[in-house]
Amino acid sequence: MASSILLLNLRGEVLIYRSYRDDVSRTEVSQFCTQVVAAKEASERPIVTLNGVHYIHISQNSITLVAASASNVNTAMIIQFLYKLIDLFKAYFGGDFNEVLIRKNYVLIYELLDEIIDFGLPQITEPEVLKQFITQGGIKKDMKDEQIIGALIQATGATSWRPEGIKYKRNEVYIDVIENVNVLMSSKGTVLRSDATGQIMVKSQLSFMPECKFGMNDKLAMASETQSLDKGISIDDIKFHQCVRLGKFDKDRAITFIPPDGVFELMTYRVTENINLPFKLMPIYQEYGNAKIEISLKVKSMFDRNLFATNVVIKIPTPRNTGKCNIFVVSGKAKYEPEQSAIMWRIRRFPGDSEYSMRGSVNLVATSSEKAWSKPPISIDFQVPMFTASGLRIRFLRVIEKSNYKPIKWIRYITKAGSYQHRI
Amino acid sequence: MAGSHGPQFFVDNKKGEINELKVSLKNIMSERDNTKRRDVIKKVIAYMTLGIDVSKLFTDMVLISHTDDIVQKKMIYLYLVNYVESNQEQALMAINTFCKDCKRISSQNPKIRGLALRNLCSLRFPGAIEYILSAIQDGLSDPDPYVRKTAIIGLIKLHKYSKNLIVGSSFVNTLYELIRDIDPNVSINAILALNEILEEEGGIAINRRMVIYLLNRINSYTEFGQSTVFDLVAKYEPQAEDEMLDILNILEEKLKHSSGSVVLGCIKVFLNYTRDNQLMIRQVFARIQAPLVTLFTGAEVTGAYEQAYCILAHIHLIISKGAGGIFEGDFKSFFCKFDEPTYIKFMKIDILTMIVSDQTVEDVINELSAYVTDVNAEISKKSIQAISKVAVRIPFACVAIVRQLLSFLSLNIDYVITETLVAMKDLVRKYRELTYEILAEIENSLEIASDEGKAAIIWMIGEFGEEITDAPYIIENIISNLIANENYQITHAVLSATVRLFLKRAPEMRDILSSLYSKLISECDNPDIMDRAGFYYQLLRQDPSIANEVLNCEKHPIQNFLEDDCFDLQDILTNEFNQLSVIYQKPAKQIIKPKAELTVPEPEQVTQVVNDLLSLDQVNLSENAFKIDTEFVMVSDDFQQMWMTVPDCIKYENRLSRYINIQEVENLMASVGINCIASGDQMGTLKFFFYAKDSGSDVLFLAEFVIVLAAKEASLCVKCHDKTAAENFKRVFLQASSSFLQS
Repeated sequence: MASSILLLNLRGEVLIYRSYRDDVSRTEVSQFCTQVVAAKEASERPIVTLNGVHYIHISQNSITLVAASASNVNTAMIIQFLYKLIDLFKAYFGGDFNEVLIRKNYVLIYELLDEIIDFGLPQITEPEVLKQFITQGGIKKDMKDEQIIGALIQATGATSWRPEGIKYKRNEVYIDVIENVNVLMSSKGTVLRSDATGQIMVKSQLSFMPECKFGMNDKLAMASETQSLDKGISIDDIKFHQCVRLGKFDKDRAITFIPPDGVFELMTYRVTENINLPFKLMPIYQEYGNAKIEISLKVKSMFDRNLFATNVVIKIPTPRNTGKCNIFVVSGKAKYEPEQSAIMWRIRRFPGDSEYSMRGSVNLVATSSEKAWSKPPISIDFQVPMFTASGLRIRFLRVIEKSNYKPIKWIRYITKAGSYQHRI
Repeated sequence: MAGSHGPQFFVDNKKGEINELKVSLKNIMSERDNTKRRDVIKKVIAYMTLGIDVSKLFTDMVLISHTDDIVQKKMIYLYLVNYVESNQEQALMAINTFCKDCKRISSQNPKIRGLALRNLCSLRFPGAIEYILSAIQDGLSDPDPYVRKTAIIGLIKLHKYSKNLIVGSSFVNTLYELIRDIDPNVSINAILALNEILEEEGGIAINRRMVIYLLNRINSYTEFGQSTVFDLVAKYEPQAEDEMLDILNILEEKLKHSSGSVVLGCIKVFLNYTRDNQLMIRQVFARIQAPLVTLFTGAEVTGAYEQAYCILAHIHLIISKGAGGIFEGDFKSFFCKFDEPTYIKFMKIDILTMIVSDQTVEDVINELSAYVTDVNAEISKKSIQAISKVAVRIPFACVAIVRQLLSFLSLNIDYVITETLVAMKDLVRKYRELTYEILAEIENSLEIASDEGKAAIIWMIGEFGEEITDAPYIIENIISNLIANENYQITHAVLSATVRLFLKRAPEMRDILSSLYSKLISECDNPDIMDRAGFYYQLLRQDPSIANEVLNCEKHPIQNFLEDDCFDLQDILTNEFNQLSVIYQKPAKQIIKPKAELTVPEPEQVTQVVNDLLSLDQVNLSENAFKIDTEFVMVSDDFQQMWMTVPDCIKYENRLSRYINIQEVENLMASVGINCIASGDQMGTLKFFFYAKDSGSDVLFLAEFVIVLAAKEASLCVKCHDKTAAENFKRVFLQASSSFLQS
């Protein structure tokens, strides 16, 4: 698999270099550092081949993680592995990941790299097990266990994700349904594509070995229970945490599982049909020659009037040579921000079923460059609590345990803007 | 640690420091407090990382290595491995330490046993191999899985170090047994090890029982383990359709796994098992569509664009294998978002052109047109190319698409105009009926377009000059502005177009042609262009009607495109699905450089090598004497007669390194003067009869060569009176067949 693993900074300097096999030499690897990372070409392609050596790399917080290999490797696996490394480092560093922390904790990183990979083959990636082998604590020594578990959700073994004998005074389950709604509207206001990707996060604080059954308004699952009037929603695709019994799901769409202790991602799903768009944008750009643009934008919230959106930020792009802007809004604050090349309109609280508008005129400065304005889309960022764009609802969560306790259940919904764009 | 002592490293009494350390190492030998011991060892390590030579402390470090504290062990091992290769005596001491720590009697803690074993296995000198082998032997049967899995990796390390040590030994059987180990990590490592050790035999041998066993416990493996298993299962060939369906049914739930490599691994099994069944493969395509789309959209949402890229590459491949229709309904998922990296956009644009259909063409073209105004010139160009590809694919939409393309000309961006012109030039080659539509619009663009675009316009004027009223005047204008040596591409285009137009509209073009020639003669110094000008001149002087036939011949409309017909390549990729090959869309051979093997010969082998060198000299000498007579011809009667009388002299067997056909073998042999008198193919068994003659000694060689394609076996039987000469013949024969026989 990987012949060596490297961590590089923006300038292509090696922060961490761990070689596992000698079929790729350090001189070869340094070519990648100078020719690709230092030359700022790393973002052009995630997989680069130089002189027969393949470099698979990802970047985060201006750190590039590279796996070098000379063989026909499983690319998806390596990319996934690199992301897992970042998660693991973050867990050990207390949630952060940057050059300073890497330099500070290089001993820990080498120690981790020793146990995670042997001779280029992935070995122990379960943080629980890993802790037995790692002597360096990282800076945050009193890191909570669940933090590490959260870092690496995937567990292994029969029910290796749950140790025996867990006990809580209060048995509680928290369920968060988090949806990202992605919308692309054409300049004429038609919906080009819309989908919602959701994530159901569960925090379980349950004693012993509870058997859980989870139900939502999935169209296919509801079809078998005819008494319900609600038709349910059609979910395109679901992916589950390892603890869910997939065989049972395939048979009768029932979601049953023994939950891990603490926070975990129960499932992710994707819905493309009948998306409830939380916002509608109606922009008008009127250009007056090369000197002036008049913009008017109406934003309408399409969700129930009892709900409200928070932290709504609308980014209305303007040309680079924007000079002076006169902006008029009824609610929220809007101002031109040159570093964004856009008018940023912020509304802290946006009630449902209401409409806000903005008018503005933009004076353009004459420039010598003739390059046409790229017209990036208007984008909007928001959070709508207790609303799901897909219409997904949790119907029940039954917990069955021998000791027969009644857990307290907390359910929250939130819809966030994924990439919510309106072309102009 | 090091920091607080920082300044003292550079003072003269470095020696004193080391002596001091030596003393404190001695002092802590009987110390029970682990933190005190750790501090001293840490100091040694700190010196070592600073580059100070602390090798003098080696003996002391070995002596204090008797501890149960894993922190101290790690540091001591780091020290030992660092200095082990500098000194043979010390090396033995270190090996002893590691070996002792590997033993269960001396170290109770399995973590320490594992650590010691891992460090021991990474030592690389000939003397160590014996010790390593016995330590691995113990490790493989250790009660703790951590030690077992480390021992397995140790075997791979040894194998890489010395090729023939493990292959064929009892270790291979032990590894097969370890696949059934209770610990999932050990089981996976055993599979990985067998794959690497038996690489030359095509990896681990898999049978039905193993497949069933692995699939039954698939959930116990990590996601990396699961993809390893799927790779293996994909290699297995189910005996019956029922069995295949059983396996696929078990695997189906894995398509819901959240890990990309697991899902792709699973798809690999599906594709491999159904590759010969057209009906089933369609069902498989339908089944894998939703998981794939979820995977890449999911990766995009979390910002893992690299993973999205990898999955898109797989989708791209599956589509080019004929699954385009499957993604048709999802075409909107492939629309680009503004903030995506360029490589994702490129991939999506490519995919869009492949899945476009009669129903979706309008939406797709509108979408692609939106990318033309992208700030990134590369994206803009790519989308114009894509639009023209769509026009080629969907003939009924071509008029609408051409109008769309023409609208780009008014954007007044030079690279957009150039790319559009080139695209239109390609389009009119397929749709000649569109010419009129296009020609009316493009003249105005001549000013703005860059060279490539200009050349495209000039080509079109030459090709369709009869339909443009003022074509001669456009050309005339171009010629008068032409600087012959400035740009050869344009000069070339102008020359061809002028001559072709002259043949169509001689009266108007006469003067223009002569003015071009006089310009070229006086200015141009490019021999290529001058040659072509001369050629046209000769052609016209001979007979203008022939020139017209040559230059303005009727062109056949293009029906097929080369890109659509590379299915061979796609089939190779089934076997290499979920690997790097998919990203490059090339088989492994083309992207993986042949490995330079690093093997260290054992002492005994060294003498053998010397012998070989000597014998090589002899061979070289006789080689000069031995030469096959390439002129020699034999009739079949003589051959038959000799075949009956001459005794067998050499028999030789080998395995094929690749598949080969009759013609290729015959050609290879003929190239060295070995002639074939008869050959045939019986149910996959190729049989050849060859003959040859040594030009020096006139010795005759007859040979029978049999290849069993299914088993990849080849056998050679040489008949000859002279044994040494026959050896020479065999050598020539093997040389010629080296491309398909294993070395």
